[in-house]
Amino acid sequence: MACIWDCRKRRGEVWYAVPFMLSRRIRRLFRLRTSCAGLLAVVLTACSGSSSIEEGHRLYDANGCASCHGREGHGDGPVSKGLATKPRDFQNIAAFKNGSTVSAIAKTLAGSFPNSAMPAYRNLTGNERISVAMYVTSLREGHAAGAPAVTAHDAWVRAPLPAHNDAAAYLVLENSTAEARALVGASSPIAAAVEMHRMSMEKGMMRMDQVQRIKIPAKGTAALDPSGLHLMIFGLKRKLAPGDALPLELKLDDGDTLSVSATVRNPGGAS
Amino acid sequence: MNFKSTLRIGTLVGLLLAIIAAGCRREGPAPVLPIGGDFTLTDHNGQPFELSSLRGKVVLLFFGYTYCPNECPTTLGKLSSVYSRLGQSASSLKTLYVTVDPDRDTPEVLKADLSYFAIDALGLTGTREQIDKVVRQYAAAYQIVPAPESKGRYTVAHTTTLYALDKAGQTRLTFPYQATVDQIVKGLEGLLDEPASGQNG
Repeated sequence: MACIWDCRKRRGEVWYAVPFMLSRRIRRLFRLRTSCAGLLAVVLTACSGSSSIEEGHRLYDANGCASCHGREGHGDGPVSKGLATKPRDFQNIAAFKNGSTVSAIAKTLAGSFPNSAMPAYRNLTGNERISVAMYVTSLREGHAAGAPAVTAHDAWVRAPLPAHNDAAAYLVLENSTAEARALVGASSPIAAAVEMHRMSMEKGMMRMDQVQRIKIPAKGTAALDPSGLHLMIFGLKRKLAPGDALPLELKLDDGDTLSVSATVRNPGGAS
Repeated sequence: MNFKSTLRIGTLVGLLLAIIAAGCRREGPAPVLPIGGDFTLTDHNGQPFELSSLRGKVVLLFFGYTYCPNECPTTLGKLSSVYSRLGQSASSLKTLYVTVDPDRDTPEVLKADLSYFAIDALGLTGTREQIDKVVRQYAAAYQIVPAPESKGRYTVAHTTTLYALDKAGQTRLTFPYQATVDQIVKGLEGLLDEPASGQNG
């Protein structure tokens, strides 16, 4: 964080000098805090290899994201006032120039921003950037006008068998609105494709069929479980072991997206 | 009360008694089912496999394919529990996993996937003709379902029955996909208790 300020000052951008001077003490405090938190981040990351919203929250705090974007993600952090290009408000999806999905945000975090104070977070690993992106997306959903309409929970995925890089995932979709909604797509930043499939018994045979949408009844739930509907994850880019987390992005028929982290379980599990 | 109605009541009482008697009778050994029989396939080590080589062992057999995301791992997970429940006697139990997708399920793939489960299992593959013959023998069925828009390209619909063969290689029990670990363990205990010479009837 401190680095951006210094770099900016060197480039002689006058508009920066004022907040820079005023916030010198705060800055020093910040640097101390971030370095401690950063150390903790490194230690924690070394122990975990997966992405999650919780991990994203920790990284969001540890990397000082809130100083510009605010604790709630409204772009109103303590230093935002001094910036010419205002920090992004995570509610405003249209303002995400490089896309607002988890994978797009994760990719954005690795890039640089010539006309803004946003640094490139190359200090984070790919998994960590995904975690931060998941947290950013969750902030957006948590605020969406009152209560979020559709939520996803209890997500889990079978660890792929040794000779495979595909797996089935399950979750519960809850629709708290008075209108029926539908899941129309899904993706994961660590998989080539995520499809919706239905398992059914026909003429005594168990069969699989791809489906294009999964209805979530008004004030009701749609369960994706081993007895029927499920998500098929194809082309996983890395091995998943029980206990890991698989980031998933769900697309609804009204254009909304939901981020959910699926817990990896034993492949032989039934629920 | 005339003769006709006495007869009717008598028949009813008789029937009822017969039903009760049938219910109280001690459960006998499971009969030999008219399906199954010996076959030749290739095991997951690439070696020729004869079912007759497993005489003296109780065999669990089912059809599946490793790209099956759901029921095959569920069945294998369930069988892991069956093996651990049986404890010592599981040493006389062999599981055979016959693939109905020999194009993708090579011996190497079968071996790698089965290694994940703590069960004494052998993956079996073969030519399409060999597999189809075994499928017919066991009155099973499968069907390749093209999935042009899916990354998986196709899926294989298949029956999910689990067959239990006695120590003489005769099919004695079948379990549906929904069978619980308890039901499978109970059925197998009966077969494992039988002498190795087999039961004829």
